[in-house]
Amino acid sequence: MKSNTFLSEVARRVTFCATIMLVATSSILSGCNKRSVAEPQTTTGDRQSGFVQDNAKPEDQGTVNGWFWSLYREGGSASITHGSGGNFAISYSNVNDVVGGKGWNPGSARTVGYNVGALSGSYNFVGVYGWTTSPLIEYYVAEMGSVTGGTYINSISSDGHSYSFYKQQRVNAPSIIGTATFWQYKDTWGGSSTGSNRSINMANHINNWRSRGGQGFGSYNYQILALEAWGGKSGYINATVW
Amino acid sequence: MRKLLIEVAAVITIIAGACSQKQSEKLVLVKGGSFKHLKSYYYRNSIAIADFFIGKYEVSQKEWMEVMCANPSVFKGDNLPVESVSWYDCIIYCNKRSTKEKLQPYYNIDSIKKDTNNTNAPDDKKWTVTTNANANGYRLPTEAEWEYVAGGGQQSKNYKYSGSNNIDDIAWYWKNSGSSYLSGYWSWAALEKNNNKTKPVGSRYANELGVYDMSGNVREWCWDWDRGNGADAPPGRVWKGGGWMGADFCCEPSFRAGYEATGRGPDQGFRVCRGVK
Repeated sequence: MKSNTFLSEVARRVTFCATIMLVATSSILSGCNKRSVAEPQTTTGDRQSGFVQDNAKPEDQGTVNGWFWSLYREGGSASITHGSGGNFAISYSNVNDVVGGKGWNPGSARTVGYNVGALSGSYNFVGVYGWTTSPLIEYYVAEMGSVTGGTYINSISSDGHSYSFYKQQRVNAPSIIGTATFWQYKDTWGGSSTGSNRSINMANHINNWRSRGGQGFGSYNYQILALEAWGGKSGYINATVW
Repeated sequence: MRKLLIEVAAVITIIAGACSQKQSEKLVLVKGGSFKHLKSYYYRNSIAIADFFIGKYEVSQKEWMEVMCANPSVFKGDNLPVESVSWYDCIIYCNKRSTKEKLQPYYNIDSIKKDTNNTNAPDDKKWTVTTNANANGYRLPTEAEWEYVAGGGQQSKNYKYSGSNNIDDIAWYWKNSGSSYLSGYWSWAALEKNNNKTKPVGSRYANELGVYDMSGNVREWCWDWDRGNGADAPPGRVWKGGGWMGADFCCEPSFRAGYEATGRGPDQGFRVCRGVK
């Protein structure tokens, strides 16, 4: 989910420094405006590859009770626990990056049901994340937080609210088929809340992408409900997907 | 004097034999025919493949350096496949190698005349490249030739991947090309920290035709265009076989994808072929 390019080491370090400055600025601002609820942190523009900690590693990946899941962490600490069905909980502390979630392979134009029972600390994105091939597309539907960058295309109404559709081309970037030039589709709402059953009618998003994306739509690869947080954040999520 | 002539003749014979052996070691003669692999896109198609030679291995960095004198690869090693090469780079390599080996260059490359059929925005070259169909020089395989070889040609056993139904027997791909064996779903962050990279050519089992790495290690450029589907899916050139970075489905012989001809990635390489003349 982290958008990487093959930046030079210098560029990586510059990006890292910029990220640190941004995080520091965010911390200062949040300190001036304290909020007790979980806070989505947004950055301006697209997120590029940052400096990678040496102790980063793929934590755990696999399948449990037929559910496809994964947890990846760079820096700090993170752990995932599994409840019944599509339930999972991730706690993380001071991470450069954490990405985790649960879902399906292959994805589909299904209605994704979810309930974020608990969400505390800070994060960047909670929502649906997935890939298609032929054409290669990386897509996001942000239910909490946001995914930014790219060109605004249109807005769509689905599940009782409005999403903004942005698309952004990635050139010579890592992807599920290898280095490729491809499009990211990003639908952002961001207004979801904890403690209630919610749904994401993926068919509405996919139909809009198909008609307005300029390249049709591809064959499904994996599709998950995921959380991502980067830039030294700490937090906790307990969510169930169905 | 007679003894000297005999010794010279012996040396010439040894050198000639060595060169001949080198040729046979590097190229495999592919017996042509119709497609036998049941899952091939070309199966039951009227296309028949003519006999041709194809590289037993992906082009190594040593082979690349001998012709091009500069190595663009991210992961360095004589016996590693060359990578980070564009389609244009590979066309040039084929012609230069042909010239070096006194073969007829297969490609006509016009770097001034823009190919008006190439609407790919990231491709800032758009060279016009045509072929000399009767030349005996090195060239890229067509997609059909590549898929024919990957599927085992006339000796096809209908494997899922090139040479086996077990991908770990024959391919370097995202799960097994790093420090640890990965599982779960594909994640670039996980690959990057797992030190995934290319592996020496021919270090997995060969397929039915004795050809290595048709699945995995580096993706391989083919001659053909990949025509896009819509304004934002511009045309590129076809690559086949999947690489160390990509998912397992990319390693199936029938999988196809395109990339702009100027595209370079640390998982993008090629192998050469030649007609039988």
